Amino acid sequence: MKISKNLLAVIALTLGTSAVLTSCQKDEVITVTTDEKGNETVTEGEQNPYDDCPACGMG
Amino acid sequence: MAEIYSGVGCNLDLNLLQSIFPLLQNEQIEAIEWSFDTLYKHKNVPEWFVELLREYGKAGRLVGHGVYGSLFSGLWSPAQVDWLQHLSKMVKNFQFDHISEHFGFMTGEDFHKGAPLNLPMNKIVLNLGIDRLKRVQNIANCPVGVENLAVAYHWDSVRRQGEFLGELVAAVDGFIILDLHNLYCQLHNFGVDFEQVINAYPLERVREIHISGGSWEQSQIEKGKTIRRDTHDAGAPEEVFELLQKTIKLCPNLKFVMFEQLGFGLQTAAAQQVFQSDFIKMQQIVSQQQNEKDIISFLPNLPHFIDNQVLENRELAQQQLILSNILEQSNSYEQVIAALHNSELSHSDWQIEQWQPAMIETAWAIAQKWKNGFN
Repeated sequence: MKISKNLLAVIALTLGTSAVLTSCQKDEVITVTTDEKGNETVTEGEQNPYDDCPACGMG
Repeated sequence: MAEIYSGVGCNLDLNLLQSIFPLLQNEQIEAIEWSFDTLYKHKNVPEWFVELLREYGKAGRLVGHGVYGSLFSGLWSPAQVDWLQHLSKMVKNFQFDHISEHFGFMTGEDFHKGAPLNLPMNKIVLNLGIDRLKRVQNIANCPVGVENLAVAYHWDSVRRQGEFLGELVAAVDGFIILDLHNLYCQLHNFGVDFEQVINAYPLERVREIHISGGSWEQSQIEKGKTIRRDTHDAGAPEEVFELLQKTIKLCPNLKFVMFEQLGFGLQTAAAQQVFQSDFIKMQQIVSQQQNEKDIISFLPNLPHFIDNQVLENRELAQQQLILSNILEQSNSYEQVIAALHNSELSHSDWQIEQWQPAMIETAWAIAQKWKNGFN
């Protein structure tokens, strides 16, 4: 199937720079948990996997 | 006369996209299969990827293939509620020609960390599967199908799978994805002929075929026995292309043939070239064998009538949990066997007494591999 030249050019550029996962910025979901000794653990990302982005829900 | 499209499983993976790109440039990719539920780890999805999916969607050549739906789990978890909600967003944003999931259930408490395993093909599982497929279809509003599973514990579960999938999808006028590498695994692992297995499938319900590669394992339990596994990390063996040649003409409603490989097997230029030549080989076989007449739509009158309450079965859920725990937590094959025989799976529909040692070993290895997530 033929796809647009512009789209091919963008894909080529992106693959060439290895920057596949850029754009569509989204606030990260960050959870901070504290244990009984007061040590903090920061977890980010997966808590809310499906949100509003057209493709992944994250955008 | 309906055309059969040759496509690829295309996800947001650098190695995979680098492998696919020359084929895209040459206008050889006729369709895309996208696993719409696998981007949960990505914070950023590029607009060009969305655009690519949309171009194929508008042409009626985008299909959605779920990985984490676990439609046959005894219980319907909050993660599965989210999965359905996610699907409803995806079908609003993309035009899927159909949506599919896998037969089997995922082990593990974490939704994204578990192994896909086989389960008894009884009335309980059938009704559960039908209920979930109807829910998927009411949301997706397009044809819905299920893929055959490679993992089987004994010959009877291989022999039964085709007929069972047929019964399952018939309830939603749905379709079957026939993964020929999965079939190849079963032919090798159980030493049976292609005809013995393929004739058990209602082939008029096959709308999509998958081609992929896998790997060999030496059984430590049955010395001298090799096991073929559906690892999707290598090129397709010649035998799978031969199966494709034989199978296409048996499937009068076939619309898509997809080549699938995971990115971690495509890290070198040589591996990417093998991917491209495998795809071209597949496409040449497909282009020689087009459908002779129009294919059926696989789209019933919608919506299906469904109960507000998702059908669940606590006993099945308990048994799935027991099997998952045994496979994930045992430290040796002997421990797996002892635990299975001391569990409530013994003398049940799971028929563990018939399970082949090398296949139990394989299920254990798969569960160990997936329990920390699949990367």
